[in-house]
Amino acid sequence: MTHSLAAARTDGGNSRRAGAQIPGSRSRHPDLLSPASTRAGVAAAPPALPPVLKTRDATMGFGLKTVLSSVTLEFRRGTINAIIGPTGCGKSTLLRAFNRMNDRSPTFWRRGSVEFEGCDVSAGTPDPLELRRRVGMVFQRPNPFPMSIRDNVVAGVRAHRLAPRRELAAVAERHLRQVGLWDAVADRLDDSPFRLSGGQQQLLCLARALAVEPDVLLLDEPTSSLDPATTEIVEALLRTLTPRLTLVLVTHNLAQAGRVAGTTAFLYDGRLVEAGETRQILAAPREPETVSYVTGRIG
Amino acid sequence: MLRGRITAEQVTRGTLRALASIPLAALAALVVILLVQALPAVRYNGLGFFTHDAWLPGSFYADPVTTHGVSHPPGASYGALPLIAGTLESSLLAMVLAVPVGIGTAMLVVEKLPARLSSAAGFFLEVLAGVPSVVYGLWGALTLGPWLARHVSPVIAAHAPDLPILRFFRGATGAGEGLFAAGVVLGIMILPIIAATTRDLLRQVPRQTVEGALALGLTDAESMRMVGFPWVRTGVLGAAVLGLGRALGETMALAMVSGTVLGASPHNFYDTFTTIAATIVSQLDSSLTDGTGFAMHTMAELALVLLAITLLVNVLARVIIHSVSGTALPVGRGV
Ligand SMILES: Nc1ncnc2c1ncn2[C@@H]1O[C@H](COP(=O)(O)OP(=O)(O)OP(=O)(O)O)[C@@H](O)[C@H]1O
Ligand SMILES: [Mg+2]
Repeated sequence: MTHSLAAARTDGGNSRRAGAQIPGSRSRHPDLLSPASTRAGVAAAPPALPPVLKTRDATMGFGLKTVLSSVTLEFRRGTINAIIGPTGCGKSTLLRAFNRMNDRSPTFWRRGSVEFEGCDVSAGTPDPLELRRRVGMVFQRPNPFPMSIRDNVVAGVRAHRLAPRRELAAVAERHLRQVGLWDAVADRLDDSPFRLSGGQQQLLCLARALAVEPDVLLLDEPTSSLDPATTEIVEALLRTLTPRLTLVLVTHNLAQAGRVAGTTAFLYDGRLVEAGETRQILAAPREPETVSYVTGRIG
Repeated sequence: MLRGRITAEQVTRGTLRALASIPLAALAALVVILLVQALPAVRYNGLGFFTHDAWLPGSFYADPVTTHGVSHPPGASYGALPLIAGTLESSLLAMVLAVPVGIGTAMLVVEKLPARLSSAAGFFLEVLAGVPSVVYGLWGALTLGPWLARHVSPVIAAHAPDLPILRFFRGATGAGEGLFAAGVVLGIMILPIIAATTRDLLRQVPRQTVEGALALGLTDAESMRMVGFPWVRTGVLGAAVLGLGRALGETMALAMVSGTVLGASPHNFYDTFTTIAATIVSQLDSSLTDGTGFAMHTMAELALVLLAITLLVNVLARVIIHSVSGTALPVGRGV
């Protein structure tokens, strides 16, 4: 990664021009989230780390349909980043581009680049399996596997042979503790996960995703099927995961973005309208569409 | 008006109830008739029916004799042990071959084939399931059996070690009719049942669960094995029992491929043998010539034994399915 913040800092004029090319977008330039967030980033973490995830002019879709147009965005290591936008605007598609889950659809296509640690995710290094180990995903609805609670946690560890068999129990315990589920399930590790509550199931899925020691966690509306109390638990947990992990969180809940995410990107109709520090996006959005969305007039 | 409607509803309900009870009534009638028909044979043959090999209808032309109040040709002595053993052995072999291949085929069709090929494969499975068993039998007797005897049996026989159970696989390999060929033909016959059912079950595995596995970096095969298959396990068990039921009762193909040897159990894996169903169909004609009717009574007793085995298998399957679904996991609605 050679893109430096120096380039970003001196780029104030360019971003205006870029904004003209894609009306309403301030983040067209690859190195810019937005001038505001860049400055904030410099203040908070002086040594400029290269972004972990990054898209440049990424345009993608299914068959004849273009879902995302020319999205340029980056996520820095150890940050929590929200993606917001009305339903159908392409949030999930963007998220799933990072771990190549879109590739499962035979009609999926993409132009531009989507990078993990400086390499295009489709380049083959790391291979898709390793990519998905390092870029984990948590889904909207809890999706435990049909196996015991303990086996659920270590399913990925087993498949990737990350720990010898005799250590699996310890790995399971560690990650169940990490998500705060240990006390609730310690005496029924061999039971089915389907008797757990929805919130507990989602925590289990989080434990499962964390057990393979990923660098990035993609979360697609992870709390939308949970009650407020459990949502709070999950949010608190997410905050503990940084700075070791980088999180990208799709959410319909603006308050949630405000509570946990350092940066927020607003997608509208397949375009990245605005991205920057969450506080700014929610309190002082620059683009009219963002204003309408955060004040509840669209979406 | 109201009265008319109530009666109409009562009539409908009564009709439906009557229709619903037809299967039960049919089964009851079947069992009763078989029991009545088999009773003289049960009394004369006794428990020895299940323990010895002989199959001697006796002399139909001599004067009948009466034992325990049952009239029968002199010298009649029936033992069903080889038939029961042959039925179970050939079905077991069919299961051993068809279950793994069927499940593998289903996984391949669901997970690896593109949609168009997958539906073509499905079409062939259904065609295969619909082929009349006499066609399988003819093919087994004329083509597959001799081919196995020439190319496969000698290899197995030569490599099987001289150990207690494995000794069964050694020895003379015959000309093609026998246990091995029959098991393979049966296996091919029940393969489509198992494959098609498993395929339908696998298609019901929730997408998000499979995606969860893939998103964890599991391969398609791993996700199928770890996530997809457990989901459908009980259903697949049901499919296997369905196949087993068909194998146990299969008649025509076995009558053609087994070699139909009465009165002796197969000596080895390749030896000629027979099953209950094949015996009933092959001995029916000659049994009718027994003036005392005793041979027919024995046929009824055989049918009763086959029915009992089939019922037992079904009950056993239910027990297993129940215990499996009790231990953990979401249970496919397969059965
Ligand atoms: N596999 C697919 N094949 C075809 N079209 C798809 C596929 N996946 C998504 N789409 C289309 O892409 C568009 C964006 O979908 P996406 O799921 O990314 O939206 P989203 O922003 O996540 O919406 P939501 O908030 O409702 O989850 C939709 O119009 C959808 O119909
Ligand atoms: Mg979505």
